[in-house]
Amino acid sequence: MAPYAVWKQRALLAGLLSLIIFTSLLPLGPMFGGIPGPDLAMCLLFAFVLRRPDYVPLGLVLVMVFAADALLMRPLGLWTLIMLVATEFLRRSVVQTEALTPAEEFGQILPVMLACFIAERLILLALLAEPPVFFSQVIHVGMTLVFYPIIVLFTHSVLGVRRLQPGEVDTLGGRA
Amino acid sequence: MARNSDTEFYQRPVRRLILGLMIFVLVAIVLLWRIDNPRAERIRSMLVDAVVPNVEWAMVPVTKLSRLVQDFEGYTRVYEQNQDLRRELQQMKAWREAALQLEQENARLLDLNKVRLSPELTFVTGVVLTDSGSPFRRSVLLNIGANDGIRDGWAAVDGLGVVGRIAGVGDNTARVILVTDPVSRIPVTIQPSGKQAILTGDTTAAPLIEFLERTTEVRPGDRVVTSGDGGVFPADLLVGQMAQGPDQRWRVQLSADAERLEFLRVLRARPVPALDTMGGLIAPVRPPIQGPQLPPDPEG
Repeated sequence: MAPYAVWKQRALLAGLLSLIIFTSLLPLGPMFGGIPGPDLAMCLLFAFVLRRPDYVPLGLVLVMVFAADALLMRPLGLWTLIMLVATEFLRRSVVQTEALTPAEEFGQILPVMLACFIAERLILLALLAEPPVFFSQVIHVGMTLVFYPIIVLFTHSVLGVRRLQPGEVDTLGGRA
Repeated sequence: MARNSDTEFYQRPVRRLILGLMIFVLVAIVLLWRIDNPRAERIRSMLVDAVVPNVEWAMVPVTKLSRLVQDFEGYTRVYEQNQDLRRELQQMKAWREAALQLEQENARLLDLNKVRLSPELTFVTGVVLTDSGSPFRRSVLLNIGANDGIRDGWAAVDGLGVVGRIAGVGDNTARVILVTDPVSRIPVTIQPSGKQAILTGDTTAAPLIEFLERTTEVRPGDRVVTSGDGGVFPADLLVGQMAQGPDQRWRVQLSADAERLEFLRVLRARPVPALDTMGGLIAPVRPPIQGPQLPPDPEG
C-alpha cells in the first residue's frame, strides 16, 4: 500500500471527526430527546487504532479532540489527555499477527472505555470541579458501548479499514 | 532494509518524547483551566471565535433543512393542529381584550403617579449559531460579541421569557449559558406568594426550584419571575410557570422555547460598580480661601 493511501485514510478520519463536531454543534436542541447520546468520536478513534494504528497519528488525536474540547464546552484539555493515553495504550496492546474476533475485541475495548469515563470523573472530583450528573453519564457510557459495534461495522465495511494480512507490509516505515 | 530498521531505531525514542511532551502540555492546560478559569475560557472563546463564524455558511443550510424536515413532519397532523390553533386563537382574543384594558388602566395609573420607566433596559438581538454539542451542557452561541458591546453576565431572553445569561464573549461571538445548564443558578420570585427561591438547571427541559420554604403557599401554574437579587439579572423578567414533576419536586415550565432557539435578545444591564479600592474618607467640600494670600514659601 502506498503512503498516499495512508494519508487518505488519515484525512478521512479527520474529516469524520470534524463532521461529528459539526453535527453536534448544529442548533437543533438536544438530540435523542434530551437523552445523552454516544461519544461517536471515541468509538471511531478506538476502532481505527485497533485495526490500523498507523492511521491514527498522535497529532491527529491531539488536534481533533482538543478542538472538540474547546468547541463543545468540555473541560479544556482533559478529554484530550485521556484519549491520547487511551489510544496509546490500545496501540501498544495491538498484536498485528493475531486475528481478533468481535467478542475478543469488545472485551478489550470495554475496560478501556470504562477506565476513560471513570478517570474523567475522578480527575474532575480531585480538581473540585463539578462532574456530569451521574445518571446521565451512565446512560452516555451505555450508549457509547452500544454504538461501538455499529461504528466498527461501518469502518470495516464502508471505510475499508481492516487489519493487515500476514503478508502485507506496514507502510510509512515503522510508524505502526 | 537496513535503513528502515535504522529509522525505527531513532523513531521510537523521538515518538515517546513527543508523546511525553504532549501529555505534559495537556496536564498544564487542564490545570490552567481549573486554576485560572477566566483565562482558559478566554482562550476557548478565541478558538470558538476563530472557527465558528467560518463554518456558518455550512451550518445555516443544514439547520434550515433539518428544521424544514421537522416542520414537514408536522404537516401530517395539520388538521388537528388547525383545530387546536382555532381554539387557542379564541382564547387569545379574550386575553387580548383583557390585556388592552389592563394596559390602558396601567397607563392611567402610571400617569397619575408620574412614573418614569427606566430607559436602561434596551437590548441587542442576536442569531443563534450553534448548540453546546455536549450531552451534559446546555448553551448556545450567538453571532454578536464584544464588537457589538456585549459583556459577560447580561441576561438573554427570547420573545417571552428568560433563556440564560452571557458567559464568555469573543470578538464576534458570545456564549449564552441556558437556565437548563447544570451550572446555572438564578434567584427567582414566585409571583402571587412572593416566595424567593433559586432556579437550578439540571439539563432537563424544566429546571428545578431549590431553597423554597413553605411549599404549601405555592401552586402549580404560579408565575416565576427573576428577583433581581445579587445584581445578576434585572428584576421582574418572566421565567415561566411552576409545575410539579412526578417525583414531587418543584420545577419550572419555561416560557421561552429553550429547545428551539433562533433569535435571542441580550438585555443591556446597568454596569455594577466594581469595588477596586479601599475607599477614601468622604471629606466636606472646602470653601474657597478668603482674605489675603499666604506669602510664598521662602524655601520653595
